Amino acid sequence: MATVSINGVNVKVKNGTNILKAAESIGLKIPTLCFLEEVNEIGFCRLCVVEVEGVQDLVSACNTPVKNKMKIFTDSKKVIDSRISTLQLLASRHRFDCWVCPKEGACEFYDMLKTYHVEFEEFGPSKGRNSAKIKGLGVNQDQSKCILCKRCVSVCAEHTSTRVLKFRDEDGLNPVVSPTIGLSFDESGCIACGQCISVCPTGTLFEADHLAQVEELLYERENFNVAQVTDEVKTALIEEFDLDKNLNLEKLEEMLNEALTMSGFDMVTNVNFANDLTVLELASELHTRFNTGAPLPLISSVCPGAVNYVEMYQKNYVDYLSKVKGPHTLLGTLTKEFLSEKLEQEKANVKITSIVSCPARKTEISREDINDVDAVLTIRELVRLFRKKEINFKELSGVKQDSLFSKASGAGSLFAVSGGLTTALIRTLYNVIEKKELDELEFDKLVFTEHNHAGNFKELKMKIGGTDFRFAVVDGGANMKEFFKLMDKKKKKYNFIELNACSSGCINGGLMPYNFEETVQENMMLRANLIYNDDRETKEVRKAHLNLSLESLYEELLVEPNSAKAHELLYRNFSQKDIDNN
Amino acid sequence: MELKNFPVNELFQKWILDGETKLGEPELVKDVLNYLDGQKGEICGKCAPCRDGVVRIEQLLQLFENNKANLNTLKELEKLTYNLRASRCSVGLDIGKNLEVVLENNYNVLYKPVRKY
Repeated sequence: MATVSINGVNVKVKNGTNILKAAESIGLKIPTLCFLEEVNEIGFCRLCVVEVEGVQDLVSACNTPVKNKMKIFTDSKKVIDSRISTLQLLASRHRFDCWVCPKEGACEFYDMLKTYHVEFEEFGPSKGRNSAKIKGLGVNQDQSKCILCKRCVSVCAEHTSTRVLKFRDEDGLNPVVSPTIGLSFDESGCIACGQCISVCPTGTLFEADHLAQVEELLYERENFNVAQVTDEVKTALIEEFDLDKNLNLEKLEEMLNEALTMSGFDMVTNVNFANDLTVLELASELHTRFNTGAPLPLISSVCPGAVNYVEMYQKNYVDYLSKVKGPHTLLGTLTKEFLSEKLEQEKANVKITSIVSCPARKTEISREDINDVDAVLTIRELVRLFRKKEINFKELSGVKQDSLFSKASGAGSLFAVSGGLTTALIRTLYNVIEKKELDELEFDKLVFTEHNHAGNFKELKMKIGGTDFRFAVVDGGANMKEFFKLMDKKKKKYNFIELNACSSGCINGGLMPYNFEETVQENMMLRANLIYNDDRETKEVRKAHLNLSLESLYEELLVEPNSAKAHELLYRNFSQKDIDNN
Repeated sequence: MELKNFPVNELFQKWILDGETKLGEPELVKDVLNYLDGQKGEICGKCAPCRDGVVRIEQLLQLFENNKANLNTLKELEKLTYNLRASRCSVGLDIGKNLEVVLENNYNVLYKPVRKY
């Protein structure tokens, strides 16, 4: 243990603890811009500098370990002056157009400028460090706002493991963070998980904008606009609109329905319905592959970020991907092919907007074999739409959905949390193989208990129909990379693998509301518990195959899981993709 | 090895090591600008005080060179120089310390053209 004095207060901390953590233990929050615990502890931004007695220069608190009897000052004049000077320097090369910034007010850099009351003297706000704007189907970058904190670079390397974003410092005075020079994000191997967007302290990285397109769709009177809503988006409403934390998912869904209807959507459907359908098709696909000796494991293709990852970085496993479309694209197909007829709407006039939590779903709808979803909005874009439509979300009382595609089981809700898809699949797979109902509905090894930046890897072995079925859940690109290395060495054998590009699953999607270090655990648990409570307490039916709406869909259209019609409408193909990642 | 700014480096060495601290008044700004020009290639670009600070210091010194400096220019120059103490590596820290010596020992030279009375 080391005893140090921070601003005159003595504190005992473990040897090796950094100054930032030591200060936190006595309730001091030293400001940081580049720091991300265990991901980016590099002391780039120099805002966490502190004065240490006996040391000539200022030291960064985030990566300087304490030493016994160290005397630290975090708020001396020297320290504050330095922070203000550094902020002035950063601001002098940042473009300020805050009112149209995609950060939507949740800007750490702006907050810090405000905290330190930074004024410009010789150098005013500028047009930005670099004027380049790099576009992509999912992720975009506006380099005029970059403050070179390198958070995105670290997350892309440590969390996603794709190393698309790089800190290019060939010219030390004008370094830049970018994907491969001259290429878009998509061409450089970006899987569009959006984690770089979620950690960016400014509005440098942001999602491709679909809001303008959706507004056009809503203005067109001939259109029959359908909004498809995912559960993770509902969980984010509490944080976005500062709602009562005791509201359940059903109530949030009703409020969202009302807001969407007020915004001009003619119908709202529930992606959970498609999740149930996905479970049935997956269970049938897995059972068929198992019986016919087709290659296993079956790898889930529900997460489009994970699909991008396999297609670009694990090309040998492309054939193992489940051919079932992602739930929101699958629901789009069914709405256009089936529901439009029931509603007596021209198929061409039915326009579908999915509301989701990650940019990978924006890239997904541009795939050649996916053409039924017209636009994808994120929760942030949705909030902007509600504001423009003058909707006071907090005051809404809510309206129930009543379309055919609105009813879902508890299993469908679970997709938003890591391990949820596998849990839902087991509930139905047991029925498909054993021809009876499974009593145990939750599996401790798959339940989400804690958010981890790096992601998790979970395993479950279960006897079904006399055979040991092995399931794996892998979150985060870095984990996926390690996992596939084990698979290459034939050290692990599984029947089913759930891949999630984001740690913790879709509740931590790159475009969910911004989470700061101090609130991330709390918010992830809030989101996960909303999902679990919906499954445990609200839903009467907790197994996908018991969803009565699905029964009628199979009777009227699909015949049975894995049928020729199902293949025609619900299945797709994958291919290996080449990338230029330099 | 021939450095573009060799005489200036030699001069700085004299200031620091030999305690010879006065620069010739007419050449002061030009010599410091030459020194900074020679150091820029060493800057790695990782931290703001050095990466952006040195460029700004250069711009401020150019104002002196062009007789456009005012009191705020000098204040800003001081501030950015002392902020180099927050640099991440020895490149920025060394530039900062050398400039501190310049400011401390030649303040009157920089103050003369900007004073109001």
